[in-house]
Amino acid sequence: MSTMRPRRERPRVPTVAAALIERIVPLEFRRDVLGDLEESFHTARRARGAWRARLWYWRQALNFAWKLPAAGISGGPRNETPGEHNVITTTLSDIRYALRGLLAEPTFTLVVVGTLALAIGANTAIFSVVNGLLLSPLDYPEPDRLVRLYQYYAESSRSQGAPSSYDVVSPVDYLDYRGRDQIFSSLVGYGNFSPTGYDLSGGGQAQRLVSLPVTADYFDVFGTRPIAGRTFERDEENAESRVALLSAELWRNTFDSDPEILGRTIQLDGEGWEVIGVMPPGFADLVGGRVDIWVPQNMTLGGFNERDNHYMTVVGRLAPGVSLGTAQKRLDVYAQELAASYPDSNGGRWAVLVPLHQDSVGDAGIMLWVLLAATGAVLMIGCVNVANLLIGRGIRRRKEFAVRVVLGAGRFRLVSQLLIESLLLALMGGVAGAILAVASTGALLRGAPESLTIINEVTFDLRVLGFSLAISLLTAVVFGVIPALRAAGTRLETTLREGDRGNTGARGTQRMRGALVVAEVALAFVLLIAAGLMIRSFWMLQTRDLGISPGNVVTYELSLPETRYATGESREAFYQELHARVAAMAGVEAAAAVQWLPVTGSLNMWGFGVSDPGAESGWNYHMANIRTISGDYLHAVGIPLIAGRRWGAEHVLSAPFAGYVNQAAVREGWGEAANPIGEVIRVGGRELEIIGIVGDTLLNQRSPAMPKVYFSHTQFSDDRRWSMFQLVRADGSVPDLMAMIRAELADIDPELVAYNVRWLDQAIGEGIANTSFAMRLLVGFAGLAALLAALGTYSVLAYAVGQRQREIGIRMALGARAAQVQAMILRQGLIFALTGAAIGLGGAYAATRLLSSLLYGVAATDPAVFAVVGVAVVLIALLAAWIPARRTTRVNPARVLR
Amino acid sequence: MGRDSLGEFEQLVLLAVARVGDNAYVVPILEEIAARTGREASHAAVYVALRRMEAKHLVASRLGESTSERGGRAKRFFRLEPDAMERLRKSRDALLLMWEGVEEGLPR
Repeated sequence: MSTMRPRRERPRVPTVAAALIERIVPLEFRRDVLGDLEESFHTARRARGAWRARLWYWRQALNFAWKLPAAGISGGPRNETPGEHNVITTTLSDIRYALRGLLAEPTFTLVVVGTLALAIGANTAIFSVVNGLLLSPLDYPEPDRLVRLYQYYAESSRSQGAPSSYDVVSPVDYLDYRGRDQIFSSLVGYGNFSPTGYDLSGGGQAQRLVSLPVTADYFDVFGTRPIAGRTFERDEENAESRVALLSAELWRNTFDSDPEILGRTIQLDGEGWEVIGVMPPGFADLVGGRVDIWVPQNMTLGGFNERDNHYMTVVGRLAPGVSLGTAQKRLDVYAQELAASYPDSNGGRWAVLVPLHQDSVGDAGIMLWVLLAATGAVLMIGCVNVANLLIGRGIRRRKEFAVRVVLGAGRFRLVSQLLIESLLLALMGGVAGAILAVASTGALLRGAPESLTIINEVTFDLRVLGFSLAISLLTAVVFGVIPALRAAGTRLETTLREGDRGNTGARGTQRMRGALVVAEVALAFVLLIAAGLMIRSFWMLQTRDLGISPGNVVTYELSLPETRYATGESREAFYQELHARVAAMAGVEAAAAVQWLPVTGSLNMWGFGVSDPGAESGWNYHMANIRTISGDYLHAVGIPLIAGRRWGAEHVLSAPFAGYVNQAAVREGWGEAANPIGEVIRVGGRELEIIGIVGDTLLNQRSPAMPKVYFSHTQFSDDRRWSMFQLVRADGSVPDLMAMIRAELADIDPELVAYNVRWLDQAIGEGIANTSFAMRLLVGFAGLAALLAALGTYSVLAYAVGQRQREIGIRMALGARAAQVQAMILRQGLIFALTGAAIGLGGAYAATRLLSSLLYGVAATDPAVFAVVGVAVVLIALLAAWIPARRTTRVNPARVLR
Repeated sequence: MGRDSLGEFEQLVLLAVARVGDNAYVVPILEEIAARTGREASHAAVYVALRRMEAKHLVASRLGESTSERGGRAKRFFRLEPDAMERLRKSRDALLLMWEGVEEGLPR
């Protein structure tokens, strides 16, 4: 009969810990020790709770495991079948033994752990970035459904163009795409064509806010809702709306987390805006960047919202059940419909979808994989070096092993004991490497291009730690197994008989060490080639003719508040006065403003029509970048006027429009040798006379020059509120140019703030930040690889010299000169270098193809780089060989032969 | 002092065995040390010390009764051998001699 009362299970001691003790404590004491521990366990449980009691028990068990072997007390006779290995005690004693051995050779241990720490640290650091940016999904709901929409122009085929030809989207096309619910469940358009912002005033110091104008779909696309308040409505997408959402950080820091913030009116550029919501803390927009306030984008048709004015960044969320491929197919069909309805603006216009994650990572993805491969190579070199050191140590310890075998140790025990040593070294290296990685990732990311850092936070999560642990264990196996098998394979009698003399190590072992050095040299060679190619690319990019001369040009931004600068005339008058005053300053050559800085990759594509009586509309359209400029822009950035004349006093607001085109636009619209001065083009719905032809400027450092049309702000100031970058060219004689400019500015309008002050070449440099970043890291890794390979060569040759003293002594006693003996060692170093370089050559030839998308102006097989690296590798190897070679001269035949 | 001199921890264990008397097995020995000195020694430390001293014939042990709290396992009781008292005294005397006259010179 079963009892009605449920039997309460008595809390048990931790089983595994008890089993551990059972294996360690000698049989005759086992029962009373376990009894004592159990008794204390229950006392502890009553006093401190079950969980802490279990912890206590475990600590006691580990104490036994540590103290008994130390006290020379062994498990003694066991309950188990005789012959079964007591794995735990054996392993524990192996660990103690290995630790003692490693501590006894601190230099060896430091070198090995240091090498592994550098290699594992570099791998872990780069992997943490790869993990954060490439492997972790974007931090939005259903991130796989997010896509970036671009438009591109292709004459006939609908083959997707190269990403470099992708253009931002026309606002009117955007509105059409937004209606296609068979493709998108929501689609947001950003008006972030230039950095925009407001001066927040009222309540103390004015503060510059970064604003992001977005359409109402924004919040559905990113699957986010304000923590308080509401989002925008579509009927608020107009120029009159004065509603804003605050970032949680702005709400907290500037408004002290005011609970009454909703409905409150804040002053932006002197106008009242109503706060309608607060975004969740930590919400990051990887397209728009860091944002303080979100405002509705003006989508009212007309003005700048023309079908051929491409300025919108568009991101969509695919409709439920619609795959990327299906969405793309439907988009292609729709593009044809639009082209049929609006041939002028949409003929040859296609749209393409790019997964948002891929779009935001861009080229950096390839770069990061290349860097990870490079650190992988460094790790392999590190492993080879350590393997070499371990083999050397194994040779030194052959007598010890032989004695242990004679005393009854099995070979299996020797191998497993050596592997435990390797494992300990790898784990020490891994821990030190992980610490290095944590410490260096901050610096790594500070040096990284800004575009990388915004995508995801780079953190040390479990995956990174797992990676670090896994490569540590892997390295232990890679560098530990061969030396362990070699050492354990030692022949007994020969070793013991050899005594201390002629301890050369088996011929095979020396050959093996030589092969390992050759492998290191080969890997280092590949890395050096990669670094060399990156340096050359960077050099080519740096020295490329940009079409401008950015030296000594300072740039800053200004925002003219709409309240005080409501008309185009007032803005134009302000710019004219500012430019005149700044240009008159001592040491200043020119002052100007432009809607987009040159050579920073900014597109602002409009169609421009060249008169063609044969065409249906009378105009034959081409695409060009539009730049509205003010002041002496050509001189300020150093663009030559090739033909024609500059704007003069007659080109006032009411005069017929006149502009410049660049040479690329001439080639595109009229042909190579044409001179279209005086011709009229149609652009932005107006007709514009070409009065000047100017030199080409690059779109960015990697791209070719594109057609450009320049508008004068004087004539276009009424067209819209152009946001302008200010540019000042100085002769370099003024120590604090900006302070003087600010003084002039304060004199004209004390409430304006000059912000985002940079040198023009610095702003342009951001365009090749990826290349520069990859180059610096690759050079660092290649340097590390070369150093490790040199150390490997050195250690093997130095060891050989040390072991061959008798032979060298005999040679010298027989009349060999020191130089001949040295040449023998140098020759050995040279053989390592040449063989390694030859193998590396093949490897580099295959591997550098990976790099080609990061290279510029240099082939992946550039002979000059290969030649320079080849010579460098030989020189480094000779240097590494020279140090031990020199030591041979100190061999005293009389002494070593005694 | 000769090579047979007692370590500090060994003295603590021996004195605890003396204080606890007939009931001296590891658990009350640990409790006695903790109660008097505030020192939380591990079972392993006491076990090793007792094993070592048993080998030196300073203590002797016998198996006794068991309780359910111990999972039915017997207790091992320890008692001091005559040598132990002799050595403890020596250790104490040596220390006291060394302490003589030192106390006054020490800052309080």
